[in-house]
Amino acid sequence: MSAITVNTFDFDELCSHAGVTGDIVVTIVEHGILAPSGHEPRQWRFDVNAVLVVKRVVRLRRDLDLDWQGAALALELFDENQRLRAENAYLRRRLERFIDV
Amino acid sequence: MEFKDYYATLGVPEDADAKAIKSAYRKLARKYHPDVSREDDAEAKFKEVGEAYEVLGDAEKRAEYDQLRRYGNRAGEQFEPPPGWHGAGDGGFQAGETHFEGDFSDFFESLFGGRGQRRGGSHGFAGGGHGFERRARRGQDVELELPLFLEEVVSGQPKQVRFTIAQHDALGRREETEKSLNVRIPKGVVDGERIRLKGQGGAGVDGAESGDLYLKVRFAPHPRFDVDGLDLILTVPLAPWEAALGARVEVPTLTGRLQLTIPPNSQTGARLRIKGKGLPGRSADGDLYALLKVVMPPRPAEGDEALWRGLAEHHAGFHPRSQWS
Repeated sequence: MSAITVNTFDFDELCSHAGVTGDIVVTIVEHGILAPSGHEPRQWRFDVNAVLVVKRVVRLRRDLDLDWQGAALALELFDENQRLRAENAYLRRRLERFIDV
Repeated sequence: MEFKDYYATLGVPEDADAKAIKSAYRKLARKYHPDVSREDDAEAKFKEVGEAYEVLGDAEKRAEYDQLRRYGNRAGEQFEPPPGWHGAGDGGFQAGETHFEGDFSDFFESLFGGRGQRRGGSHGFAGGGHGFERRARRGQDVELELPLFLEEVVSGQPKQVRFTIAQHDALGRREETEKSLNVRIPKGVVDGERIRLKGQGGAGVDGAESGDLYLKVRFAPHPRFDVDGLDLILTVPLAPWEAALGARVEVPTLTGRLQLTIPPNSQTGARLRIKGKGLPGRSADGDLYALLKVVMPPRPAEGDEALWRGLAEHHAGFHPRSQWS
């Protein structure tokens, strides 16, 4: 069996998949944590990462007693850190290929 | 079932006051929170810490736990709640009321039954979550890393993915389901991208829809090629005379080999683009870049010196460090 891939969510799908109410999604968008395409909630389209972002930010907020801004900041810094680590590993690997004879 | 030492889990002494316990919990919760932690096994540790705080952070539960501890129970020892222990006797699981997804340990459940408040609950994509429990529950989403060799990315062959979903059924029973599916790797996929497979996560409860499977693509490091988006980079070592005179060099690609023409007077660091020999893209394929690297022979051979001297005299006007002045 080969599975089908689907890569966008609308507003209701995002709410139901992330297990949150609509006002939480609106709040998350208002904080710039998610940037859907479309002008208003009924037209919003979220990318494939949106469900995971919502779940993570909701958990961070709840588990670490953070406000939305704090949770968003934690998430941004963590993701940036991950990205830099990956980039660092990649550049190191390339440098080694260049230096090692 | 083993007796759990919640004091050791939080790293606090037995006589720690509520404030010290809270601050120890907060510190460890930050350290092990699965959404921001890089520690090994962060999720399991976060759950342990949450469970320990669930007990020690609640005066009533802490008193009950301390009482058991004074019975002489020690961490790691086999533990059975004493006969008539009231903690487990308050109804235990009642479908629809308790938080099934609270993965508390058996030890905790035997002491406190369904009295957990779910502090660090619904991690690892256990769907739903706090405050949204209902009888019909959407199946849980599952997130997995999908390591791929570059050869697999190029081949377009379906990749078999096996995983286990642990979730609770309508009666709160924990069950593990093994799943195996063949996933077609979409063209144009890049390292770190997430693929969502609709309905391939945990089964829904009471007719609710299934969860999704999220695969985070990870390219395994390749012995020859580095990846930059859809482009591949291959470092090509050249003898000094190949770089000077130009050469035809056979280079590997992910699907075979090809002849690459090195132009005369090539420099270290120069990149030659081989169109379309990178990773497959949605509209256009990536390119392969040959990155040139001039290397000296590891050992001098007889007569080298005279030859190099000849070159040195010939190039008397060349100053490789002229930029320094």
